[in-house]
Amino acid sequence: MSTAAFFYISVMKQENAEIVQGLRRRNPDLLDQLIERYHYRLMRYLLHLTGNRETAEDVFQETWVRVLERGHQYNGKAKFETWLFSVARHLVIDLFRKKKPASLEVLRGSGEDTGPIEIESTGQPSPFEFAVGREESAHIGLAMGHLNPVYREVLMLRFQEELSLNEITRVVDAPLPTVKTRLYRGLRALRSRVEEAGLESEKS
Amino acid sequence: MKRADHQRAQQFIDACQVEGISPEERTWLDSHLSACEPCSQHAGATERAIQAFRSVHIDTDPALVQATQARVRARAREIHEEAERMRPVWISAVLALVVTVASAPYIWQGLEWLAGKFGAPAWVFQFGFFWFWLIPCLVAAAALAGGLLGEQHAERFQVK
Ligand SMILES: [Zn+2]
Repeated sequence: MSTAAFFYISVMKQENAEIVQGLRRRNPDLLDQLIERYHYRLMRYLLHLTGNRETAEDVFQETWVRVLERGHQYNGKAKFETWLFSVARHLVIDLFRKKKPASLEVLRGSGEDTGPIEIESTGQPSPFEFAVGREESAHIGLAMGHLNPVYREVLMLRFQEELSLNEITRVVDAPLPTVKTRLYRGLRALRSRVEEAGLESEKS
Repeated sequence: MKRADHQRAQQFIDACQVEGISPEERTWLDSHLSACEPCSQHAGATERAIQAFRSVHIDTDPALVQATQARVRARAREIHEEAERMRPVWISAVLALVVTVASAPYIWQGLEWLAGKFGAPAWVFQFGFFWFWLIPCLVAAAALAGGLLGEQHAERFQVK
């Protein structure tokens, strides 16, 4: 192992140990810092998962309350964000169980081949339409909005969060072959959506 | 080139992104891509799709972060106050249990003596002793019920 990798792992372990201790003591200052540090990534994950800003914001708050209440369950062995995302994911599943059982099946993975689903239609633009930074971002945002959430979730964990396959299995609570299948199918779907979006933007 | 070669190349292109490929597979893929235009285009499209996905930016509301921090702090205070409220109850329950265990032989003898003095049958003092033993359990049950009621109250409190 290189010195840099060893240094990185030691720093990460030290950080995780501090988070474990702070969460056990329910230290509000630590929670303030964690909310500040992880708010963007958690919100991005929830938007990918729910496809709805209002729902994502509700679950966002609920997730941090849950982190406060059940913080003692985080043991520091995995990255904090993998535990955070799995807490958020459980809350989304609970919410869908109450609201729309069909959406829940898709998140559980049993509806993987059913194509895109409408989790909630509010008549407002998809959160991915708020994508900025590139000219074709509106088209890309639309393309993302049309991806099946179960694919969007693993693609986000792999390509934005840069999690390993094993870390993804922990977040989505699914076996490795399932995660790989979702990633391969998601990548295929993403490629064709982005190509279509590219063609659309060239036309317009 | 055979059709199977193109299929293999395109599988490797996806596998590179998902789970990685071996150095031998990499060498084979590179040599195939240098000679095959459609597979090169496929590799380019895959790269562009992932770049596009990575470039998606989400707007976040600073007010949401502040509201969440405030809510978490309020809940932390509630949990702390709840624990403080329950502490004397638990201490009393533990003390009651200790006193009961320590004084059991004396209570048994005392009740036996009383029963003998008044000519009551043995089951009367045994029944009395049974209730004496039950008191700490009842206190503990009351403490637990109090705690649960407190938690339910706290849950109601956090519903928006
Ligand atoms: Zn080829």
